[in-house]
Amino acid sequence: MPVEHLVILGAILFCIGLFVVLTRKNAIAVLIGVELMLNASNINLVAFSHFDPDLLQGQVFALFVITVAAAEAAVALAIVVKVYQYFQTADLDKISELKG
Amino acid sequence: MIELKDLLAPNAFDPLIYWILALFAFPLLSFFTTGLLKDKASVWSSLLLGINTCISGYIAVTYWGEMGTSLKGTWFEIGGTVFNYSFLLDNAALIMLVIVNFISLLVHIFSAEYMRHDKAKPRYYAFLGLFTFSMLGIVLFHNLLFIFIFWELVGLSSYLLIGFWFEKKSASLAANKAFIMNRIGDLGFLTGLMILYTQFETLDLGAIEFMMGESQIEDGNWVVTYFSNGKEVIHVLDGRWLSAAGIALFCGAVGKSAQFPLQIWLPDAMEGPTPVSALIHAATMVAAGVFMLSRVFVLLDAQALEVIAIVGAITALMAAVAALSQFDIKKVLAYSTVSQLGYMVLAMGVGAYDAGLFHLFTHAFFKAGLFLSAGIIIHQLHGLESEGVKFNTQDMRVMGGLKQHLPITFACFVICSLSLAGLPGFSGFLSKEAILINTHAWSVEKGGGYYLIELMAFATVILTAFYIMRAVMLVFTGKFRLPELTGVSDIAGKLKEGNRTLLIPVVILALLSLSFAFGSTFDAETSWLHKAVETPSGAMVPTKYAAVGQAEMLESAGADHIWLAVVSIGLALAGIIAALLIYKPGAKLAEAFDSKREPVSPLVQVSFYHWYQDVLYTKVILKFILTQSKMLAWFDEKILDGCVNLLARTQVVVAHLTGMFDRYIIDGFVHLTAFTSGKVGQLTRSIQTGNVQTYILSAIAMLIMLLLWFAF
Amino acid sequence: MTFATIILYCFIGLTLLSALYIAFTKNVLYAAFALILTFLGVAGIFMLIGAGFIAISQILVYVGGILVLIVFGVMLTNRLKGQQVTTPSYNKLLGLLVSGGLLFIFYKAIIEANFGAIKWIESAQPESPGLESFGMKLMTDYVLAFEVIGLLLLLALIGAVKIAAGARKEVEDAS
Repeated sequence: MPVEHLVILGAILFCIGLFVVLTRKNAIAVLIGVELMLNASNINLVAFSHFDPDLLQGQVFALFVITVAAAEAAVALAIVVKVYQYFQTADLDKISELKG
Repeated sequence: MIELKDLLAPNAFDPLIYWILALFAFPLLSFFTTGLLKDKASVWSSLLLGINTCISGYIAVTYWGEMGTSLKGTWFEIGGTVFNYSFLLDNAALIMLVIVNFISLLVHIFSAEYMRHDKAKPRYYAFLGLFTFSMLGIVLFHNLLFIFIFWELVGLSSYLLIGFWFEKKSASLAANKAFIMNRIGDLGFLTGLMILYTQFETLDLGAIEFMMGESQIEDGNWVVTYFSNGKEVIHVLDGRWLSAAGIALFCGAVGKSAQFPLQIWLPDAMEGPTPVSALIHAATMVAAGVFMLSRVFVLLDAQALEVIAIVGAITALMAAVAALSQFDIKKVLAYSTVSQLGYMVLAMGVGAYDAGLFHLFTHAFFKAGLFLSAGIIIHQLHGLESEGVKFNTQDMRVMGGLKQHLPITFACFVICSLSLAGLPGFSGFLSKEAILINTHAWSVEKGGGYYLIELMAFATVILTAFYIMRAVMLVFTGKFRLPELTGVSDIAGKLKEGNRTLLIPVVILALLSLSFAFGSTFDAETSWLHKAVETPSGAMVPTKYAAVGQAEMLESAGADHIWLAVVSIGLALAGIIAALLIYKPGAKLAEAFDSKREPVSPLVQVSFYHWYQDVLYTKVILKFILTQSKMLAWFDEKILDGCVNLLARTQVVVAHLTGMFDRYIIDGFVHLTAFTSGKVGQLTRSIQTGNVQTYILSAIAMLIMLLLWFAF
Repeated sequence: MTFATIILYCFIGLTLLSALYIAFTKNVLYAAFALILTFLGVAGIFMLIGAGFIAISQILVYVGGILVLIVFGVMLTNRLKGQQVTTPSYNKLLGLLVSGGLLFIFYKAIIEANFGAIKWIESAQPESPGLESFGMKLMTDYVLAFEVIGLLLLLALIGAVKIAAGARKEVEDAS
């Protein structure tokens, strides 16, 4: 099977993730979108690594991405919980402290 | 030719260094650790001091010898300049070592009782440890730099102890006074060090003495030639600097040993606890000055020695006069110390190095004994004080008739007093005799007006005997005046003799004030202590500037030896008898003493106010400075301020003009700019919705546009 | 077309479908569960293209860890009283436009790049490298990065605990 197919899958997943991030109001849903985007990048890394068995850089990098994603999820959820307690909502459109 | 490096070279390792370090370590340990202890502080620090006394005794016995043992080493090196340390254990240092440790130990033991109820006892003992430590530094080191360091430490610890009861305003003021007066003296000391360093490039006393011996006077210039790091160095200074160096070094002693005109701090220093006074007056603080003088003795030229002799004689007489009319028992003793120090300095000045040091040693014992006896009296009287009954425990007007209540203290006080007065059979006689003989020989040698110095020395003898017997009579004989003054009649019955802790040190000191402790009753020359400290033969200063040697002078006046002794004994007896007659129980003066107030007669006032020196300093010098500063203030206010104000007014006018320009023209531009940026800001602000997703959206949209622009 | 390839395409389909479901559902919990399917699909793809270790890690970390976190997050940030947890959407059209545009550019780029023609990919013999060599790589060439990433994870966890723990009192106050 050609490598393009996997790469296109990655692109589609990334764009779906981006769409979710852009449109959802709930912070948790946004986080789901972010996880999708991270996974999409992993697909790309592993796909290319498939053709490069000796170096395995792609796989190693994918592992790092997974780790960072785990860290990010933990911190992000902690922040979401905290934000919820502070603003009594997890809806991002109602949290507009940055409004100029 | 000498190489400086060789003079400073460290000598072979000597286990003595461990003993010396131990000597320093114990008092320092006492300083650092007693603060941690509460009630055990006195036992602990006395124990440490006891060990130290044993060590010093051992060292003194082991290293007792003619030449002295010296120990040198390199401290550090900067470039080619070597800073070394050196110790010299000659007989004088060994005796001093034992005396400092021994008297400090006695004071420690005495204080255990005296300070029993003081809350700050650990602090007190810590300071005592520091004091002893600093004094040992002066005694042991043979390098002027180190001596100066420890000199300052002595000043600091005396400041801390005089101001020990700093809650009392007078105590903290007295501490300040002592410190400042000492600083004035130290300035001179420092100057002396600078002169010596300029000439010799080192402050090691051994090296300086050697090179001083090699230096010469050529055409009124003081020339030193030596090799420094292989290069030949020739230092030339005007010959007067040699005298200046000696006088400057003496200034240090003037401050520390309370000589005229800086002696006024010592009577005020009585604000400290009485055992501290004993320590200051006997072994540590004031002795430091005289001992330092003995260390630099060979560097003093004829002119400096003359100044020293004159200052010493003046101090001795002035202080003796001041002691005549004091009410405070400690003040009497303080002035007597100043007077006796005057004797020691006089001895140094007339070239009697041995007599001066000998008097320092004997004085240490009997003066410590006097102070500790006074301490017992004060302590026991203090015990009589209660809620309703308050009085000044140091005032002789409340005492009288204490012989019955404090018999042992009385005995000790009298022994020490007779020693101070200089009666045969007591140690004071030996050393004072030696000083008087040397002074006489010196006066004969010099002739003319110099007989005045001798006259002053002899006048002081009779005054000394008088004032100390006056104190004895007023304190111990007659009737006890306190019951009458306070109106409490049964108070006398409560007065008891001090306990053993108080009495043992005093008894020991009294025994050491007897002349048999020093081996001879009538002739100082045959005393072992006197023999131990021989005057350095031949001064090191160039012959042209050197003073006449002691041996030559004594020879020329040798025949007068016997009648001098007779005269001085006669004078002392005269003083004692006069005091006995005037103040004997029932005599007019003794009876009226309790109602006596500050004197009216100008002659007595001179004595009571210590020649108005304090008043002179505050009224004249302060007034002069104040008037001067007032004038300066006037000049400042009228003329300088006028100029400044004019300048300021001009400035204000100019400022108004520039302000107008600023407001209308420059500000106009600024306002315009601000207005424009405000508008732009409002525009851009509307984009900031505060919603993160909108930001991401626009960012990605921009990215897409960029990619489209690049790719297609 | 081998059997493995068919399975691979099945996984790709599963991934795509569940991802699209996430994109269009309003219910956050459903989205979270669909995410499990997406992750599983991706894990299957990894397994089939010779990245066994990454596949296992994917399941362990994403399915086992992150999803549990997300579900807990959903519970903690919504007062569950029987009704469904839904999330409204906005910017739908703009979002669709932007992500669709980005997808278009990606697609264009991938086609233009023509990866199949690149030399090292063309000449490569796709095969499973095995766990051992991967482990060796991780412990030799990449050991520093590996350690650092472990430290990062630890710090992130401590930080997360710190942030969340400080909140407890306020929750009690609020209730």
